[in-house]
Amino acid sequence: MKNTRFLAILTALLMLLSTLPGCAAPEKEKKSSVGFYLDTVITLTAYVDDQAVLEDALKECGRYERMLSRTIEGSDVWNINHANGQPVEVSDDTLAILDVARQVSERSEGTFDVTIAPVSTMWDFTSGAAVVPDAKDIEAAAERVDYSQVTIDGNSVTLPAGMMIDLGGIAKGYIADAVKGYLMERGVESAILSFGGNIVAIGLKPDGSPWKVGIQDIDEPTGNYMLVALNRGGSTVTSGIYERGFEADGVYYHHILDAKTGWPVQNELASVTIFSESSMWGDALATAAFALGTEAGTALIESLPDIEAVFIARDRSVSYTSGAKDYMVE
Amino acid sequence: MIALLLALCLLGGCRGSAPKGDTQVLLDGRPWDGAKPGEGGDLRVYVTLDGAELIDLPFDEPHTVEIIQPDGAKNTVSLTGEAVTMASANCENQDCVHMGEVTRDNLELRVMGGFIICLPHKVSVEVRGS
Repeated sequence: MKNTRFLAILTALLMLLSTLPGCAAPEKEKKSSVGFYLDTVITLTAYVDDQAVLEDALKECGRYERMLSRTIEGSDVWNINHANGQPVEVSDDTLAILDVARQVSERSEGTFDVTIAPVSTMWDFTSGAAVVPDAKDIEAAAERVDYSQVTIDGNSVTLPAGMMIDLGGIAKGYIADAVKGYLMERGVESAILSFGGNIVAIGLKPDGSPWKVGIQDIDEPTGNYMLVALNRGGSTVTSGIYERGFEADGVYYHHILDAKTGWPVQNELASVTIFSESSMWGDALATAAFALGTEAGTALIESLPDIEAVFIARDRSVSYTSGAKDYMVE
Repeated sequence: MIALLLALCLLGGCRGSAPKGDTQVLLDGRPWDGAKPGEGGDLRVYVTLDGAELIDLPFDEPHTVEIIQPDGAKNTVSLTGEAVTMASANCENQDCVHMGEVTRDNLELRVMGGFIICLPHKVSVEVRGS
């Protein structure tokens, strides 16, 4: 009787030992692959035996881009936008995104809204052209923004003619989550994946410590950090006014648009960082919380379980949701 | 849109094609003779074009690397000994120039880790352990 128990404990111990890094036969190496999808540089860094798994993961990004891009003909989004009010069959992925998008819209008074395309396409924050759209045009376009007009029945999506969807504020997060899942299924246990402002980690660093993510100092050049966040295998998403924008006639126009007005959000904030398990939620919530401002944005995040946020104001004051400090260095 | 097409090209069919033979690499203002600058160092800077490695240098030494492609595309990578930046590029979006500096302190904190990428020119700079 005693012997059996001893044997059981010994077996358990041996099994435990065999999972320790020292016993693993081939040493996993840090490898990186870089790609560009949905207007974003994607870097995948993982501790793997073979870089091929990262290259395959990038191909997945390409597949999702062809499904979710607004500009690629034949994508689900392109098909919805060009259906002239007729129903369109879409993938389960697109449905899943539209479902979460609606939930975030409903919780954020429509400040986040995937039907923003009529106004977002009027703005160009990337080419350096620095052209401010005509106020009357923005006003007219903003009237065609309304998430509640998206009708879903099974896999079929209907959007009234004249309206347009752009998943730019949420698709990156969805793809980040999907690529993470893809790599985990293939045995990756330690990785940090960057999709523009979305950072997604798998597990911890090989030494058992959390990954660190810098939160940009708003008054310093890119690469100087005001705060350092910790990531223990979740998602860290930052939306900041410094990411993309232009100056015209002494006014800085940044890329975070208020879906209700069609103009860049004008409030006290410089950036919002969201900590969550799902990067799709983090992506949409970063925009929504930013547009709502510190007070209403904090209330939104506090209403959701297991999601935390850090708000940095233009005057450099920092505000945390109740559990956010668990995600910060000191 | 052009960037997108270039990217698709970069990541799709064009990847793995041989580096352009006529691309010029200038090291500290002079045509690079192919000799590896400063062997070793715990951190090195790897410059690649279209996925093919062009040159690698020690992070701690000050150098300037210019990459000039046959179509006139030009990138200038600056190493101060303490930081690496894309000092200039004649690409249309200037994203690479705006990616800021990579230092020993921020290497683990940057959203892109040790990378600086010029997508339109397919030039990538990576700071990593040797």
